[in-house]
Amino acid sequence: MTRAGRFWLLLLVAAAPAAGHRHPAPGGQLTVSLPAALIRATVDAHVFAPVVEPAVTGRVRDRVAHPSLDGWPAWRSGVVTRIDKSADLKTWTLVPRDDGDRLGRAVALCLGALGTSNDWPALALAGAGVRVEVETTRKKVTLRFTKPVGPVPDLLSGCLLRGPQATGAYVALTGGELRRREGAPLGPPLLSRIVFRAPGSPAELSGGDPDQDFGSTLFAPFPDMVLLLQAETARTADPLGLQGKETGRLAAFRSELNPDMLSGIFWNGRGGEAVGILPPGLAPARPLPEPTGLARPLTLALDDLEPNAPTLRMHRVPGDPLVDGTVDRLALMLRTRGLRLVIDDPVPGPLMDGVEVIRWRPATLDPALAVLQLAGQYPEVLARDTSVADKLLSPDAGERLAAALLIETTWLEDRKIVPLLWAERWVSVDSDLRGLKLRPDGVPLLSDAHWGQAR
Amino acid sequence: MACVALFCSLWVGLAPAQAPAVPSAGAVARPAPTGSLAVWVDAVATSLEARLVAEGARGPVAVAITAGRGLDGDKVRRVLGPRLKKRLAQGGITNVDERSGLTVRLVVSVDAGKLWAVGLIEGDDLVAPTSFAVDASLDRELQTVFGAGATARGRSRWQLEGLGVLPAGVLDVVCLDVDGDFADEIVVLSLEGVTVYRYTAGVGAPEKVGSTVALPAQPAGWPRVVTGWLAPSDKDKEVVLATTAGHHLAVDLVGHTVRPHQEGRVPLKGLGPLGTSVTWLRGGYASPLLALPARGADGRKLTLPRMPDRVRDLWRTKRGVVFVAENGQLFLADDDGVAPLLSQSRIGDRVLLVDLDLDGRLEVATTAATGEGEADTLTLTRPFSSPGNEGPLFRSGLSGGSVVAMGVGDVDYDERPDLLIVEETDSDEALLWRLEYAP
Repeated sequence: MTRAGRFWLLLLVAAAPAAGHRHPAPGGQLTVSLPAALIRATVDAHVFAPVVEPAVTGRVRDRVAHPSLDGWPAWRSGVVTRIDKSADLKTWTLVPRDDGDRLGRAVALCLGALGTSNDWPALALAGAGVRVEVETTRKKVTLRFTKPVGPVPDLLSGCLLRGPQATGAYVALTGGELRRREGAPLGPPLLSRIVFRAPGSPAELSGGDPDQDFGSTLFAPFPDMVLLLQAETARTADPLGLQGKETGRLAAFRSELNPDMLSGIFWNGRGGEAVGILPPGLAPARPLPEPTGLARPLTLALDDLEPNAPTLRMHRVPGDPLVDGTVDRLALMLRTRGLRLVIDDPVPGPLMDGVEVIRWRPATLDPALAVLQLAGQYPEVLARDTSVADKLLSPDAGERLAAALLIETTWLEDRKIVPLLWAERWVSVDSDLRGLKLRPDGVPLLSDAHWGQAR
Repeated sequence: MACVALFCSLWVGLAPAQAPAVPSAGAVARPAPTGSLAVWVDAVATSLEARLVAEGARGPVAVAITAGRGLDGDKVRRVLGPRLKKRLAQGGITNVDERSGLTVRLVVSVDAGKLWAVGLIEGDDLVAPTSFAVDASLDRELQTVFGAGATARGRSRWQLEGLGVLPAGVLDVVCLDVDGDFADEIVVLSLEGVTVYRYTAGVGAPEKVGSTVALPAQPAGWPRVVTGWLAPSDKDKEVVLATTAGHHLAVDLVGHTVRPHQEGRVPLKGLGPLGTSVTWLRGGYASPLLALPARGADGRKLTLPRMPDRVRDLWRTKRGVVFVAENGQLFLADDDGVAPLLSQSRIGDRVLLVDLDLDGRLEVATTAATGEGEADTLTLTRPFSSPGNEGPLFRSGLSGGSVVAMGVGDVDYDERPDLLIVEETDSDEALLWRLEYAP
């Protein structure tokens, strides 16, 4: 089991109900305050059932009562009863529990068979240059990939059974409220209502706000990564002086950036210097390119720039204090180098010039699929290395990991992506709430959550 | 003349050790006894009936049992008394009534490697006393039952014994005499279904009796809360069950038939002793909580002290109702109101009350964990004398797992209640424990 797997398992166990053999009592309401970007994903995760989800861990009776899918011990499903694969791994068949048409549409959308999709499984397949066709009958859904694909259940774990009606544990009401659904695929959830408050408001579960730190703190299995993506033109111009690994400029750059200071100011100190693209906890400790040489960090200055000083366009999504603080720090570093930074919102479409600072977290626990997800998000930056792309979709997890680490090293050495810092992801919850889980992408999962004391 | 008659009677009575059954108009069909103890009790009763018929005696008998050499008198009376009474009642020829003028003095002893019962019948209109004798080879079961030579007086202790393993997924357990041998079998409700096990002394695992009666698959499968309730039915050798998956069934343990039963109601074994044999609370789908009012088998509401509408479990006693509240705390509800019974903040889902040491005072068995995430601890207390200030009579962490079910019955023929505990660990098997008072 990978470190990430062990960590995830530990997290699930740690978050499971304790206090002896006492079954949770249903009922009660939970108030939730999340950043705007997470609200939609959190609502969808509760209103629409995942096509597959990780198998139950913990007590034996729960494992027996909620068995894994035949042949797939790591996965269970309330949506499909069976997953079969062809010998060449190009054709996969899903047997739906009830409505094949709805399952077919949902999977086709999620895997990108119907065109562009922002779901991470579609991005991962796009990153690997794999297309898929979905054939649907009432009794089965057939996936035909253009190349062999091994980790299909992992990809399906990122697919929700979307539709006009709720298919998950909750049904969405107007006014930012979810109410428990008796007909949920794996039984009704325990909390009766989930009420969303405005971001930053007091709530019993709060996430994404470093100032909201109360009750119990539940950390995600791996941190977010703040990365600098360089368009080809920016990489050639090298305004930050990052090219030429033998000169040691990367070490000087990291020293000037001072990630520890940034995380201390903007993220409660829960972060630090990043040296890899894949977050610690997702990928195991591995040898990464070491900056060498004797270049010294510059003394940062606030001198006036020449009116005709060269500029660098830097894109970022505004509103994230850590990203904003990092961008400000980069502006200071560039100013010291005589460059003017133009800060801009992200542009739709490919990143053709300048650089972009992103806060990225994989939506999967599989390092290879995480790499492919990133490649699918920024295809113009991260040209695929076809020699290893196929191995990223190998059925063998070890082979996928090796390929992912190889691609990561390549991207790092080419300076296509420059890791800036890592930052923990956590939620603060009322200490009496039990059974909360965090999805890899940071979405809190509340279907098994319940109050320790009746409310 | 009387002496001659007595001599003749003794001579005649001692000759047939295993007297043949005597047909009678009043006799009712009964299952053939199984197990050494049941066969021996049946032989004693049959011999007694044969003598009564031969002497033309009518009406009930008063039975006095004493122990001879090598046996504990109290134990012999506890083992033989109820069983003989029950067997005679089934026979239809006589029954036991301690006020009767027709008396049977029965002496049980171990002699020459055999178990003997020698009876003397006298009184009322008998011309002269008459007697009978029954013997049996002392096998392991009878040695276990009567504990010949194994008694140690003057010491008071609790004995916890591992009885072996059960398949994982146990939801509840009851003890019920399924095979008519006067010892209870262990009836287990699990995710698979209902399975009967038999305890055999000296054997390292409970012996499975027959096949498992499978639970029918529910369309929606098991919900997030996986639990079940099992209790004896009104009918002989039948249990009723409910699960959070929505099963509401009665299971015939002999015929292995299943029928729907009391939809939406949960049978509770803790309500039975003082009322009808099956009582019900509303609940059973996806929730471990049960809703009052409680009803008897006839559908009528049971009169209980005022208490919360929703509970996890309850046990009716002469002192009131002991219940596990929604928050997991244990309370006593009686005419004076509701008060915490244990100072422990939370106990397991279920509670069990039983007089394990037969001293006339109830013990309370709970399964609270000692701390967050730690293993369950089985605790036996006697809190009624000073609620909230109870000292544990017995505590055990078992093997560090989670207690998933408790039941009580006499599984070893000694007429003392045995507390059965099913513990689930991380392995794919559950451990079956027995706690008994072993003076």
